[in-house]
Amino acid sequence: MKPTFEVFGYHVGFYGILMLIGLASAFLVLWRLGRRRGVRFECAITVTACAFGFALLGGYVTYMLASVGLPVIVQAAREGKLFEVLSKGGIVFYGGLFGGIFGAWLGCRLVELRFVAIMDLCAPALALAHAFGRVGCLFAGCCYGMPCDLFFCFPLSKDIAGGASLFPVQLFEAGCDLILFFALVRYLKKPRPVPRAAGIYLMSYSVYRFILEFFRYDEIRGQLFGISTSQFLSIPVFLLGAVFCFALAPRSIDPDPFRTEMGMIPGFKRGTR
Amino acid sequence: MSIAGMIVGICTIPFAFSACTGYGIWWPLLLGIAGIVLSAIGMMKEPQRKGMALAGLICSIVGLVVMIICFACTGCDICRYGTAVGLLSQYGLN
Repeated sequence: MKPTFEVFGYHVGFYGILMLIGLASAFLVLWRLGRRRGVRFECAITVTACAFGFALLGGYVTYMLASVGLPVIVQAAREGKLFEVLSKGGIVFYGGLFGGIFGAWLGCRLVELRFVAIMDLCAPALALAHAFGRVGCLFAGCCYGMPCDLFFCFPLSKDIAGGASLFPVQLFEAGCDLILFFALVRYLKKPRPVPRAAGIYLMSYSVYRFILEFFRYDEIRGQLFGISTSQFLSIPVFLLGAVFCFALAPRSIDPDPFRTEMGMIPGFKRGTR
Repeated sequence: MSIAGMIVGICTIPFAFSACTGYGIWWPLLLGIAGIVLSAIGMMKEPQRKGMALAGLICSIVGLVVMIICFACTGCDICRYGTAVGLLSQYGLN
């Protein structure tokens, strides 16, 4: 496709720019949804920053373990080539998801918010950020689909799959993410039992990711029990979403996001939206 | 909190360029997140030092933005490969 564009003679990666747009949009969504519930701007930015940092870490560690493997890393460390191996990294979404969940929990602890209530607000933010990330994948020429001759397929580059027309699986995933984002934002307009929105996100994402994985053709992916690593991870993620939706949400968990008044907008009355 | 946030935030910007090496992304990331967290908590707990906290917050965000751009241009394998292919095509070597 077109991985970079030129600014004053420097090549700037589209992937990085779209990652930034995704991060900024996730923050704006979280801020806007949080503001209606009385959550301060500072809390939204703390939770976003922690979730982003740990998402990158989780995605990177999962990529290194799944694609490079622990024995290779240990061997490289013994030979003094650890940095050389570590510099050849990438990001796996599911690793990022688990890392991001941990980061969001940590962020909530730091600003004294209740994680279960904030998790629901994070779900649409994550879906929107992921949609931008997938468009970034399309520009970078990674995570591509299988060769295909249908009218909407197109080649990414003559160096990718021999220049064949490829199924734009990245755009399909971005489209699904966008639909999920709008659906979740609409769903959260009314008071809902927590953490149902997070459960809906996890269940929906794992289903369409599992299906779209059949259309993927990129080489850099691990295999577990005859299916791809991401398909394998989709199963526990779906189950986790089902637990959120059907086991935790009906228990009438308090939807109030505050543990103390530190993160509350001054003058905001609890229970109003 | 606010002063620590400002110091860490300022340190994030020069460290952000280490993301060009790929694995060097972790230092500015750690500093940037620490700067944002310290500044944000400082803004909530110490309203009298809001200016310092805001400066720390802005510096941390700028550092993280620079870090992401540096990493995506040269640190990430996929983009590094894409840039190399682009340059080769530009000079008719591909």
